[in-house]
Amino acid sequence: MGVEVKNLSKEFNTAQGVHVAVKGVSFEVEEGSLSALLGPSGSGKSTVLRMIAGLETPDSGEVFLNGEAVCHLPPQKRGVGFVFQNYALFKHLKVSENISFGLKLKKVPAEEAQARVEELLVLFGLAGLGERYPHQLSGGQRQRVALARALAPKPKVLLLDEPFGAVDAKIREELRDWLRKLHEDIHVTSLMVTHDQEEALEICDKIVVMNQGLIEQVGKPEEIYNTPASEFVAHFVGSMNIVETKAKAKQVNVGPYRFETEKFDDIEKGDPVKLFFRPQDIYLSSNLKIYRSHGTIERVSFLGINMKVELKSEEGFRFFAIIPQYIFQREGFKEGQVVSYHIEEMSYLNLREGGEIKKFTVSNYL
Amino acid sequence: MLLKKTKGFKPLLITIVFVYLLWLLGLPLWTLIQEAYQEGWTKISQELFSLEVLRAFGLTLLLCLSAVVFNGIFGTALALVLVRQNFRGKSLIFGLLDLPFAISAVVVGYALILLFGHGGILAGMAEALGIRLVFSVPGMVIATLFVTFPFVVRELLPVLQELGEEQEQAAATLGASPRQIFFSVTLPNIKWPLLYGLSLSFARALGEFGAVLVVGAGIAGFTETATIFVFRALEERMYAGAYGASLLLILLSLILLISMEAVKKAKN
Amino acid sequence: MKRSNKASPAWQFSGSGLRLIALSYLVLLVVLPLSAIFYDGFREGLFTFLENILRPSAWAALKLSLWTAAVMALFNGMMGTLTAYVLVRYDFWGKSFLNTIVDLPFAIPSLVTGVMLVALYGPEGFLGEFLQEGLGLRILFAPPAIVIALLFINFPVVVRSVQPVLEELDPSQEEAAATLGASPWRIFRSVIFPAIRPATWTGVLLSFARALGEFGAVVVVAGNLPLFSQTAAVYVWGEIESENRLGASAMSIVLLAVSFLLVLLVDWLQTRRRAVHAT
Repeated sequence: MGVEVKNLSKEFNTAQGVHVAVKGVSFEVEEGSLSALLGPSGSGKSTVLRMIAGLETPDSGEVFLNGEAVCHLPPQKRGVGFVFQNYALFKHLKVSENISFGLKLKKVPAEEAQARVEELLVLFGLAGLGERYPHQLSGGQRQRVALARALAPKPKVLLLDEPFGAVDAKIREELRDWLRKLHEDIHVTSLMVTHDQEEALEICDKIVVMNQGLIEQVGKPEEIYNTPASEFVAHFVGSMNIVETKAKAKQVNVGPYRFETEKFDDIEKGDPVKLFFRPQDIYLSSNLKIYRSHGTIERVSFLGINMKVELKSEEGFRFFAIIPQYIFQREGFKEGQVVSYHIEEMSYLNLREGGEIKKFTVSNYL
Repeated sequence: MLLKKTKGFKPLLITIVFVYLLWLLGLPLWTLIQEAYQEGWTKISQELFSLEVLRAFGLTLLLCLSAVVFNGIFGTALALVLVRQNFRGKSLIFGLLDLPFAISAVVVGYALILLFGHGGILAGMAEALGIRLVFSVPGMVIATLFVTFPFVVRELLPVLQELGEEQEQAAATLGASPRQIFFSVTLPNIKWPLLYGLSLSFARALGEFGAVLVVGAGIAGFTETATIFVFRALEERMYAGAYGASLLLILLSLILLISMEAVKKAKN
Repeated sequence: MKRSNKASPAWQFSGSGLRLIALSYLVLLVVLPLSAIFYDGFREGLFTFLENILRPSAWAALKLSLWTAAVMALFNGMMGTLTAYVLVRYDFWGKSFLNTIVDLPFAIPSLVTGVMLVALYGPEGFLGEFLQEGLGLRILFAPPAIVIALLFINFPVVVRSVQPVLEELDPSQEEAAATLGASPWRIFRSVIFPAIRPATWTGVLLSFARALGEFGAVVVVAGNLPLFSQTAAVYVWGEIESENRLGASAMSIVLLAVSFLLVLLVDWLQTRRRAVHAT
């Protein structure tokens, strides 16, 4: 087992009073995996990471690294590598000295340390930069030095706090791919904190979604994306159309869609219901006979390979669809045009009952 | 671009400042050099190389070095505690940092006499430890520390604040002990401001007069510092000694001032 | 992320040991000696304290210190602000030299300042002879010498307080006022001075506080005649020499109390300045 966190809680005293940052959080990270703590800022994810590293003391709960309880240990004795959001490179030390910092403290013989530094410089694409100082490097290079420094002493666990938060979008993507590859090479148990769902979905084996100090969902990227367990996850991970409506006698209406409530045994007449559907799950056609529902294109935006199309249905509810560029071109969509559409997959949440979001396929609409 | 009206103002204001400084700072300095010159360099060097004067400068040097050592250690510790820790009454301590600039040196010396002198509150303790603190060098060291303690702290507070904790935390996760963190991460990052604060302490200790006079009583050859010697020489109308020692003190201060400017440049 | 106010783990300089050492040092070095003075001064009760402070020589010394310091502080406030303005807004030959010279009084021992002034204004001195013989003005060993000495040693205080604030002040405001036809004096009064006023007052109060307790420069030039040219600090020294503890303690308490008050006031001014700056 790599990292296990049991019932961690943490409060901070601020000028505004007590702020509960983490409220009884438990999860596991498998050995050798790359996992993410995903959530908006202020969700408590960084605090959890810092408690695992020993940089914060939990008020209650326990952290296990490879099965060993470590909360009584200072960070020096936990054997974790930590990568800070703003790199926290030692400004007064050269790149090579930064990387060898942890090796020296472990009393690794000078020659061996030297060899390890050289090896890491090459592995991290920093060959020839060993004699530079951090301020002479680009953002991406600094990030890689920070990683090399954390990995040099061969930590049991690698913790990354928003590792790509401070670099440009382009370099961000490169670093992301590179980190995935690196992880496939060295297989060190890694846990990263990020607010970028795309990043987490793309490179992680497992995602822990946090919000307001609580865990919303733990799962593989596909699970998180395809079957969000809560409204928060549905909203936060990926794009989502959300429509609120009320169940009438025997049916729920969303625009032209009428779902018979007999099919959903947990919905009764008068229940407030929220419906979720992904913009990718909407089909559009300029031929009004293809699909049954009709709407007007209000706005079109260019996303690259896809197009974002904002629609207003005949019944007056608004949502957006994302369709591939070639279909958009073929159908010749324009703003103001009336089109037909179909929503293939929806999930719903009964607000009266709460609980999990349930998914259904829309084949039986009237 | 200011309008033409203000143009005539510029030379006027600059002239006023120059004339004022010439009168306030330049003229006295020039007079001192002039007077010393009239006394003659041979006479001055004779006076300066007497055992008493050498001892006085030696004692001043000792006080300056104590200020550097103690402020280096305790000033840095205090700055770290103030920036990195939270505790009740912290703002009170920030208030204390301003006090030595505002308190009369005589009062500082007197406070130490009250504390350690005959019948003083801590006189018994000092006696038990076998240290004589009044009319002696150790007392003068304490007085010097009192008047110099804010310099290092004040220089370090903003720098430590700006440095932040992340580099220190990074070192901790890499296995560095608090001592190793301090010497290999924190200290290299604050060395120039620290050096600047220490030079300020040194300069202040070099020129301190009132506090060390009161607590040490200025016994010639024993508790007489360079400034106290100048004072005695003036009282006894030994002008060659007074002017010579004054010039030497100014020279030392100037060297310090110039090297401090260099440190300031390195600091930025 | 917000910092914890609670005890952090023992990985850094958060040990209570370090705090204990640092704070004990401060208490032993500063708090204890100062409390000793208050303890000693009020030992015989408030009446004795008042009696000691209201003695004619003591009262006169206090008054002398207060008015010389006040005259100096106001004049210094004017000249210091002017110097800071010239240093920040104008470019001229010798500017960097002038900027360095400003700190000279901080570097020169205050006693040496006294020696220089004695040489200049003394009966045989260059200016002293001229003023005494020619104009019948007595500077040395009289209150005017005290004011001059205080001016010398406090010159950098106002300059260094005002200078950084002026540097941050956007000159475009002055230019805007000038294009609107405001006279230079008007610009200063309505644009510049309101912005630097807290800094000027900080400098004025700090130099006043320093002047009130000044000893080295004053003791040499003042002549120290009781009731005429003996300042409060010199009075304390005299009382210590003549082993009149109550007299020395009473005056020390007054000086300390004023220092405390001024430090608090300056602190308040600076927080206010920061608050204004932040908005």
